[in-house]
Amino acid sequence: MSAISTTQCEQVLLSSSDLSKASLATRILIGRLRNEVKGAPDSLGEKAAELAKFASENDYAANDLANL
Amino acid sequence: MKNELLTVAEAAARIEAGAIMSIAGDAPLLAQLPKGNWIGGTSVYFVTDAGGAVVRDKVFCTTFEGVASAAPAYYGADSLKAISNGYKRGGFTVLLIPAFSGAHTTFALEAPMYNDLFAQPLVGWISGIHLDDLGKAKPMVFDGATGTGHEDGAVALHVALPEGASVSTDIVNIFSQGNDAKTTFTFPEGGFSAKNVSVNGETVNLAQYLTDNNIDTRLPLVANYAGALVNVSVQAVDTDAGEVAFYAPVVPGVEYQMASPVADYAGTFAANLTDAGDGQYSCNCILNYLYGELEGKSTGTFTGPVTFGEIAYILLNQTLVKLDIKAA
Repeated sequence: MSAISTTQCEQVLLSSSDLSKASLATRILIGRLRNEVKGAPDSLGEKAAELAKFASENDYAANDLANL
Repeated sequence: MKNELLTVAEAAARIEAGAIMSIAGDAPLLAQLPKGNWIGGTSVYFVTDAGGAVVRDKVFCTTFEGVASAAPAYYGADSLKAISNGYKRGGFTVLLIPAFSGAHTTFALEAPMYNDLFAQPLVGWISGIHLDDLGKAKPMVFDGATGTGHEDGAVALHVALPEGASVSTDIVNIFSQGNDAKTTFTFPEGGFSAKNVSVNGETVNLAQYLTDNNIDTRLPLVANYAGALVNVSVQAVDTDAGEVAFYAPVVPGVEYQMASPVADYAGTFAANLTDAGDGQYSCNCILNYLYGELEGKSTGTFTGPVTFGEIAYILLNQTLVKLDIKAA
């Protein structure tokens, strides 16, 4: 599984796409992070890094993000 | 995985034989069980094979078969943030918390920020009591390792799986956004209660708004978390105090909509579930039981306790949570 880049994570967080095929954990986390970015757009880099770290530590999450 | 209503004697024999179990039942029954590899929480409402029922003479037992090992643990409200320290790599954790306790509040507000929360499936429920006993009895959880009951804190069963086995969790929410898709609710502050809310950008008093617009508060507020629909249920509307209480915290900035009405709760659950419930762990919400009048009605093959809140990583309302283990 190739690493998910921070840029890819930023795109996911700036999108409002429905990720119904992703695992419940991935959906809940991305939902929270999207809301936080909406409330504080300057935090995008930090939140994308958090998502990238989550994907690097959990194979299922990396798989979810790779298949978006 | 086996889901069964057992007598205390039958459950005790199962525990003494070394079974790994999550048990729901009335407090006096749980207090009789021997020490062992189990956790328990109080509930007298269940979804059984025959439909919803109040059961006070048996306990509902989920026996996790084919797992490698398990460790029951008690967490105080202050130590819940470290729950992932007990995770078993590749396994799962069942978490039970008494309703109305400090741990209930702490978990609801802080769980989304817990370190490594999502590193494995975390499921469970909020223990309750018979509604006739509100104000007279307290919900409890039991740590099978010590045989001790607790009115606060949480008990967790950290389960390890054998090599090659896998586990997954998901939710079934029969509600959808869009009763009035043009009306959105956004809260300036989070928590279990709210006075003001932004409705389509205009700040109003929520209690007054719900009353003036004759909104059916048996329907939850629904947020869309990237495709996961997460409910917040209304507990009480106090127009004198101008305050609305919820069964789970609202999150500031998240856009909520009132749920669309559901005519047939039991039928809708059955239609949204496969027939694979026999081998899965699940729980459903007391509000669905009450508002959907589920007593005596079957919701399919998913059986389990009816609870005062559901846990799938975070606290949920009016939602069925399920967990499935695939053998190696």
